[in-house]
Amino acid sequence: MSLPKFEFVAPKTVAGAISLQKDNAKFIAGGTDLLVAMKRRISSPSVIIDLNKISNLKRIKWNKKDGLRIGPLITLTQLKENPLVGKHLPGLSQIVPLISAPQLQNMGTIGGNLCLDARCYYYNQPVFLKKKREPCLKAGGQVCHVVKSGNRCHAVYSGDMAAPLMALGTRVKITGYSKTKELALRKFFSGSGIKPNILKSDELLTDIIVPPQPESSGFSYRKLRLRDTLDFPLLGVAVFIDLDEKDGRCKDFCLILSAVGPSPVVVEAATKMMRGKRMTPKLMDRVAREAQKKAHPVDNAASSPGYRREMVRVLIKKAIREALIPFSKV
Amino acid sequence: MEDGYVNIGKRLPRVDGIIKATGEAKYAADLSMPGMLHGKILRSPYPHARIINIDADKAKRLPGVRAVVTGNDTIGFKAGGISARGDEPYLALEKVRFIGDGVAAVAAIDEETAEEALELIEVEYQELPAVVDPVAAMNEDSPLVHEHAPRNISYKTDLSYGDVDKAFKKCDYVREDHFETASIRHGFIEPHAALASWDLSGKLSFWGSKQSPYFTYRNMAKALGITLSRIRIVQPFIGGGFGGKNEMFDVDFSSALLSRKTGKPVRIVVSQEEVLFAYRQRHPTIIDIKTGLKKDGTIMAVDAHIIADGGAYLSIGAMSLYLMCSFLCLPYRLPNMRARGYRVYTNTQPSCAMRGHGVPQSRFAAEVQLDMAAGEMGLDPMEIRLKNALGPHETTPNGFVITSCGFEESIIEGKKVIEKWRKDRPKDGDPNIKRGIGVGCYGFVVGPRVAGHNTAGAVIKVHEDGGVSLMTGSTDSGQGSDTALSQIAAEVLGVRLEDVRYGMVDSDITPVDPGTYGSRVTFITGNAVRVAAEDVKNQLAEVAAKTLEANPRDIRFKDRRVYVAGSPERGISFPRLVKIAQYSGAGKTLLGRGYWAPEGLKVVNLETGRGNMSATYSFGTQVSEVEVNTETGRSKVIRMAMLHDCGTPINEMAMEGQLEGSAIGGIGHTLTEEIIRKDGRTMNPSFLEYRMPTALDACNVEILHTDTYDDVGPFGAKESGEGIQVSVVPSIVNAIYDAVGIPFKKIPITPLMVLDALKDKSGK
Amino acid sequence: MKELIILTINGIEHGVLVETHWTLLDVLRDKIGMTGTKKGCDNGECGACTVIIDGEAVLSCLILAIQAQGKDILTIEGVSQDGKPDTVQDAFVKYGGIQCGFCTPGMIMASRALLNKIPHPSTEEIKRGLSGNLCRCTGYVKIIEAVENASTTEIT
Repeated sequence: MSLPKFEFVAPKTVAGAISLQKDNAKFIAGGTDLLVAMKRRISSPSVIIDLNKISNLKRIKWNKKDGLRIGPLITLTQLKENPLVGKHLPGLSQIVPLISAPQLQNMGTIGGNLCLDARCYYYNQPVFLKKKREPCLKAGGQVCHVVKSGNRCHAVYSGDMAAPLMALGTRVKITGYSKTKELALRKFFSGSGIKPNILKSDELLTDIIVPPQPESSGFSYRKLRLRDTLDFPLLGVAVFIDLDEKDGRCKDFCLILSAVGPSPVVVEAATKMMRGKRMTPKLMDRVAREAQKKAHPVDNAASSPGYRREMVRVLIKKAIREALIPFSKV
Repeated sequence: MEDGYVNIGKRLPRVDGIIKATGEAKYAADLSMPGMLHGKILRSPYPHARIINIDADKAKRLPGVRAVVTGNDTIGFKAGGISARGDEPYLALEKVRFIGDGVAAVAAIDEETAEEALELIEVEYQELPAVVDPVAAMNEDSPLVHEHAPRNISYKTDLSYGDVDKAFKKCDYVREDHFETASIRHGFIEPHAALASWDLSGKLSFWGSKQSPYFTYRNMAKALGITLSRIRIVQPFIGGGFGGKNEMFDVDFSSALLSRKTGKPVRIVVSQEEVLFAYRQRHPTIIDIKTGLKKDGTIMAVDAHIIADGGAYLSIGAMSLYLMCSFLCLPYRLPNMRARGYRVYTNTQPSCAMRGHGVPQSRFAAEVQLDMAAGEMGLDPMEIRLKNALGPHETTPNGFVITSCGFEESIIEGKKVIEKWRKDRPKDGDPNIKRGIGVGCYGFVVGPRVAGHNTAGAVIKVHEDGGVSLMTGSTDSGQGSDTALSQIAAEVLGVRLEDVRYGMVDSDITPVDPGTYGSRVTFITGNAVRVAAEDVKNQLAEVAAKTLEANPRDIRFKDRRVYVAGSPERGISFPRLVKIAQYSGAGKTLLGRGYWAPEGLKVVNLETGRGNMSATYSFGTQVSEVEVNTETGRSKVIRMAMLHDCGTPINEMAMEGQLEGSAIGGIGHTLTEEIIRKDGRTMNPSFLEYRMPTALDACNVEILHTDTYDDVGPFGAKESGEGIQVSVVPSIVNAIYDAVGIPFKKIPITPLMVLDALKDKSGK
Repeated sequence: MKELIILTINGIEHGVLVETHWTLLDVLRDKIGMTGTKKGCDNGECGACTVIIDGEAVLSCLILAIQAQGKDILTIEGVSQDGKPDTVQDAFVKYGGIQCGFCTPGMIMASRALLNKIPHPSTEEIKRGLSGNLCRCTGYVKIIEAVENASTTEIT
């Protein structure tokens, strides 16, 4: 279907962009999520505010104290190819090939990936096929087609960048009409499938700050999908481990699950279980089982909930093993 | 057989390669005309409903809208693979029968206005109970999709010979299994598109993405109630078909009807989403099959019960069902068999032909069951196949006459491949990765002889500089037939491929032809081209005989030279000869004419399954190796070998391309592709959620063809690429069986199915 | 309301009156008459509409024409030089990487962009580089072979 009509503006500054926000306006970065949603009439903004002319949002900087500062308009390909990222956080560049396909990596931005709308089997159907179905919660209605008796929206946040960035302790800067705030990325997500992040309509994600990682740390992101390209994650698992190199005990541990709910899930219990412990297969198993409890995949994606739940365990073990590779001597 | 061909058997690039590589090749949606309007189709949102009223007044009043048409603007023609049983109006008449059924069409100044107008058409429906499950559809008390079809049975085939019950009693081993195949997509990337232009003299010109333009030519005349001489169907380049673009559709008809109504050219391009929820699919099937063998592995009897979900309309389904049943008789000797097939109407998208047409479903069941039998009987799956393999000059009890046949050789070659692969398999790796090798075999038609028009024709015009124009009524929907046919013309006339210009279908000029299906073009049209080229060659040989003072029969044509047999120095160049022929005396108009159809075949009866399908059959063996990840349940095909009998290939490179496409497509059919529906509504009408293989799924494909020469085929050639699709799926399923010891009876095999089956197995 | 924009396509500036909501794909095909770029899915899932903008392969169905102003747009029509097919086009023809041809322009643009970045890619890199372009006819085998061959004949 053709795109619906809209007014188009392309401001050069963040302040300009924010001042142009009206009720039904949308910011556009890479456009790979929004334009598809618009063609399907999932979204019909009256104004499109193009952020691509704002050069401030397209920078990557590094300093020892704050680590990497990544502008949200940096494309996934730029992230992959950036020498600063390659030097200080090579693990981050390696995630990019897991996201969609090359053309979409060239177009999609890191900020856009974090701000992806939540997805659902029913909700993302072409408008025609939804005609004779009652509008769901996410579409402003009263029902959920996935969990029939449910009174909350089960659409899934399906971005690939959030889980790994959260595991790395990333913070984000949000600029609004009158004030600016900085918060941990894990606070950025709302927990609601209807609107998966906390951005208000007149707020913009303006900076992504990834702190410097301890020398003694390892990291991994594993993605489950049916084809090795194009597909959104059916499940994402990010693991961060900081080890005491002397005794091999965990100084810090972070486990995030993605694509099993409206927001990435921080498995807090795992952190508690691991701190101060040595990694053993038994412990890994316990952590995985704990995580399984936190994952609530429902029937809103290409693969059955049962399978995705089962895979939580498998992927966590793979991710932990991969994160431990730098310490294989230990 | 003459050696030293200049064109035949060479790896020559396709004749349309460059213009496709530069983007110059024009497909239907690339065409436009001055004053052209754009059309869109309004579709049914209900799986089953009566149309009470359609009010298009608001839509017609929208600025920019030029016309709205509905079923009421038609003469009520209904299409179907068997014309007398036609049940599918191009725009719905009283009822809609699936979500996506065309109800009305709009022409407007641009696509956006047409889309907007669709929203303004008010259709009053009376919803009817729908049936979307084929088994439920066969119940006496199920709602009827068509009033004329009790128990929703759209077509029945009952093929039996020998004495099945008696034979089973004598068998040492009998097993019964239940198989299911999902509905899948043809998967062409070019959506359906049509451009129609009606003039005031009452003539229609039409350009559309049609594999069989002459089907549209006939049905367009019937549906519009005009004579064939007033219809001109022109074929642009076709962006893939695989069986899904054979029939005429609502998009074709509506563009013509709207053009007649508005007096302007009208183009309709449907969206890929529409292709995926409103057009054709491969028949999903439920197959119960019982096979009996002697303890030495001799197959004695097969009894099959097949339910094929036909969706809302007949389409080409009678043929599909016949093929599912009758191709249980190939490629093994089968003395007793019974196959009862039911094609059933449901309120879902209509099913039709798709690459392999009906045969992939039933042979998947038969080939997988054969491996299960071999496994339990302690026999080698290759030996069991070799033992039962049909050979040259055998006739199957249902009437298939086999002539050239390299099937046995293909199995023997397959065995060698398996031995080699087992040896070079990497030793220890990840303990969660299990490797397995599997095999599947096939026999397939090479240009079916069915009731109705079968003949292909060809016309060749020779230009005075030695160039050649070739016209046929066949289409190249990607398979490379334009190139193969040009190679045939070039070889017979003794010129080079680059001297031949191929003219695509234009029903005003080109001979009438059934089109591209049943692997018929290279074989049947190829023969027509050969005859046409010989016709014009004979005309030239007479002139050459005079000029060279020799007998016309001794004149040879090769590589742009014409000479006397045995004395190459007694000759002239081909262009020189043409000039002499055209310029001297009364002058010759050099036109060659050829037509050809397989003769002497007993036309098949689709209900009893008797008759001879084709003048020859292709055969082959497919070997696949997979890796199954027992942790994630994902299977990956890591290499394949295709050992087939395609006769003598006209163009090796094109032939390989056909096979590779079949192979990788088959990976999708086995592992990832499935149309998911809920209450008749397609849930995954996108290439994101309908998962076709990508470049990352492409594996190494070894291709070996057996050394056969078919006496009837042009230059010894037979079918290639469609038949082997039949064996790809079972070879992968059998490879997974080999890897993890689980025979899957349902495709696609999802990771969850694998994990569940592994759990069940270890639980035992 | 329409707006006049200037698009630089294959080195030539085109003035076009566009609506803000028109995609680059539709403008290329319907307004400028460059129909070599194909509309397969129109939703960013098949790669048939791939063009190269400022050196990167992108999907013209998910870019607004108005956003493409001031950028260097290369379409399939601009790949051949001086009336001759370029190395990649040549290799697709020569090694059988083309069947129905509908995915071909997008495939060639994706291959062109890949080779510009990685002149001698491994097979795996080629597969990954083309993994956003669907083809049902070829099974990709000969397309991969064509790109491999193009990468070795290319003068870089």
